[in-house]
Amino acid sequence: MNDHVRHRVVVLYGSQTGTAEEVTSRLLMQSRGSVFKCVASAMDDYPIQDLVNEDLVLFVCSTTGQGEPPDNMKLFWKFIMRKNLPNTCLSGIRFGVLGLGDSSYAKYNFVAKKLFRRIQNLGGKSLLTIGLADDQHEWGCDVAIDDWSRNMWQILNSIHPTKDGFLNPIESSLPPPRFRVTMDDTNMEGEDIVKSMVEIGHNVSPSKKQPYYASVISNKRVTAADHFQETRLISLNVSPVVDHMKYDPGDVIMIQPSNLSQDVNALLDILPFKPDSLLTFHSLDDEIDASTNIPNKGTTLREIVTKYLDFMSVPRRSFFQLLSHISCDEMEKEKLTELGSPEGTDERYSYANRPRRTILEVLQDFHLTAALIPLERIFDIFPIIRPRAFSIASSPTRHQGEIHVLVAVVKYKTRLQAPRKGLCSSWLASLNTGDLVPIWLKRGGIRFPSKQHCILIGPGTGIAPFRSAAHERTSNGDSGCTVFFGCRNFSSDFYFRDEWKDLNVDLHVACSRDQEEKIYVQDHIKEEGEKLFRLIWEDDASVFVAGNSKNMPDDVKSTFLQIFQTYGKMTSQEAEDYYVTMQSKKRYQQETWS
Amino acid sequence: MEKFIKQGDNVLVVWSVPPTGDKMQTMVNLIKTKSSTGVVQLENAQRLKMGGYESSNYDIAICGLFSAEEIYSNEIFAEIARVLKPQGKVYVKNNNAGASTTSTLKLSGFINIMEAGLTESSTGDAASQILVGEKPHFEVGSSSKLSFAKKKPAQEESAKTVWNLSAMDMNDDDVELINDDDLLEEEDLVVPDATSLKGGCGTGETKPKKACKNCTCGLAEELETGKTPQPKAATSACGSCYLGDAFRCASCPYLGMPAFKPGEKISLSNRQLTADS
Repeated sequence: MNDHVRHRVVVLYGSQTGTAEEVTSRLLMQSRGSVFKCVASAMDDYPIQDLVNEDLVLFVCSTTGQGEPPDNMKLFWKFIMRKNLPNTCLSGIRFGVLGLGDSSYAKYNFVAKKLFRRIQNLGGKSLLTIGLADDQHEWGCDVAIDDWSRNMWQILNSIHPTKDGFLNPIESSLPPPRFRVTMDDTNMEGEDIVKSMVEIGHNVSPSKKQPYYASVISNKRVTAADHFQETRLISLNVSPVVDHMKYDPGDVIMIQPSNLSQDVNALLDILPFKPDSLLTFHSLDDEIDASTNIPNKGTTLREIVTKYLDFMSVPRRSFFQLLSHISCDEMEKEKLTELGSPEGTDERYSYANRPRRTILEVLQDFHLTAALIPLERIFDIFPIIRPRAFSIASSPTRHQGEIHVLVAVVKYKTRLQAPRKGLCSSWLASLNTGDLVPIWLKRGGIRFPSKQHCILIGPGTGIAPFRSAAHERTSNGDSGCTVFFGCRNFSSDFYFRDEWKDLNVDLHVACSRDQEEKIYVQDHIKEEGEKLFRLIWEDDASVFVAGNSKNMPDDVKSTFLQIFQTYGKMTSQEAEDYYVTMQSKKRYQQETWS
Repeated sequence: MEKFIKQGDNVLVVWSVPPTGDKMQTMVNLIKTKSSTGVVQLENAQRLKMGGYESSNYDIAICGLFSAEEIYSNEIFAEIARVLKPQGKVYVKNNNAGASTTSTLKLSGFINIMEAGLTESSTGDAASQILVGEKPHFEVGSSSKLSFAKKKPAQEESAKTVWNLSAMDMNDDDVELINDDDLLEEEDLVVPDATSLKGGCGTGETKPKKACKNCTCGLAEELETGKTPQPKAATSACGSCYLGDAFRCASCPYLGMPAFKPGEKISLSNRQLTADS
């Protein structure tokens, strides 16, 4: 296929749970073989200086519960909201926006709507009206996504009509595969692959494309053995690259997890290929996804399955759709077609989404179809394992050459017999000393001022960035901190219990289950209200909140609003205004995760 | 006034006070001989807008032909401007010295307004002034680039430079940001209403579950006859239990378990043996 006559379309996504990323890969698949050459990237991975020189740009993004942009478009977001950008700088681009949202939230699709307005503000010309997908729709987001995509391709086709020898985007039910794959019968030992990867990346800052393989120094359980929750403190050795992995408290470490070997074996059992033969992927160069770095040669199916295929995730609609095209068994094909149709959304939710059924389990149900999956289709059928972000728990000074992460191992039951496990946390928990973990750094959302007092609120694993800050501040002789930590029991999940006494910290611990009445961090904050208000009002202290994003951040905020009213004699409006001012001056910062 | 008419011109004559006798017919005939192949149309000023005239159709419009006392509003001139071809001309005979008519013409979009001369007083009337205005060579309401827009490429280049310079320091936290909440417009705050969230024909009723192949639970029968069958005693003879959840009946005791392999011994947990409450 002659690439010179194809038209570049850049698809940029902002994805929190992976839906926007999945929709993007669907768009890429639809464009395969057409006159459009799609290039996809997470917004934060895209070289932003290039945007002014693009022609056709599509944005796909979700909105998080609080109306915030997803993590992998935060930098992009902050950039395009800069006041100094001239309102003609994007006048060279034509764009479309597809938003993925949920209208049960007040800030329904706010990020997509704001993005659409802002790109227009900056001179961008809109190709079509904004697409607003709504999870509350009876058939889920798919209805609006399908409508928008069809519309979008039609408009792009009217700009650049299809030529002979090219497919019409979207019309072909099963697009051509992305790769041609050849199989070599020589086996390659898994060990060699790992070793060859350690060698690279010593002279540059590790990145998603080129992570650093850090070895595990220790992997300790920090909750009591009889406590229901397993939380682990994992120390990674970064001393060989310490100059290229400089970080500050509040920064984030990205970890690229793998699948557990028992799960890998279970999948290899039902796939019809020899797992250890050498594979070469010959890319048809049809699409470029800047964010993945799948090796194209010298790899085995076992390695691909272990490191890249996210088969322990819940399958999405396109998965069923693709499989239905591949299936030859009447009963399986019929069921797959139903599960892959918009009308089958209810059925799909109760079969897959609600019980959190994994792709592996679905393939076990549809084993006749699984046995027909062509090798060159595996990257179409399986999503790619996404890296996970963790707040760094170590101090760059106190724990030199090491990076610590505090990981709560995710494990729960649904109506399925086997327990559900978090991919990354289960993998991390399984690591032994000396095992290698692919990592790189990312700038975090919070920064601690050295001269002002810090009020740190981090229940559960939310304590991680504050342990980093407390150690760092103590060794640098910075201003002190008041720390609020919350756990269930003093004896079971009080993380870093023995460390705090040596730190320049005023610690308040709320153990919710150690007494009849449940006590949470906000109760302690309330008790300390007068003192905290003085610190904020007179000493310019800053407030930091980290941890689970469910109710805690809002509860803490309303406690502070009460404190402002009680001790600052403010009306509720004045308290709210004061909170907003603190936020804008970065004196009230949050880092929350789900 | 007919001297302004050239052959082939489409002519629109607008009047508001009808002339006496057959003056109107005489005039039309006279104009018709002048324009010969063109269309000649007479219209009452008050009815002009209702006439549904096509845009850009006439070469010449004549006002005040029968009475120089007539005064035309801005609205009428604007309508005349619409039906005239670009660069078409309007002639207005007017007794009241030109100032107010000139400004009304201007406001209606005509350009190059000037005196076209005095009428011959053949009709015995006092000599009246004739004003002529020209429709610009573009359509009213059409847009076009203003000449200073030529600078745009340079401007665009400098905008790109600002963008690129700005992009060199992505992590600069001190750059002032706009308040992104201000970007939202009223329509962005509208929440979808319940009826738009229904799939299909929008009856809103939940779709009945489809019966499995080889259905034994009675659903197939129910769907066929429209009657609810008598509950049967539990039986494991449906033959689907060994399959995965995707193919099991809704009441299958094996739900939640993996598909069985041939010869595999099956044991149910206590949870599965207790009925859901």
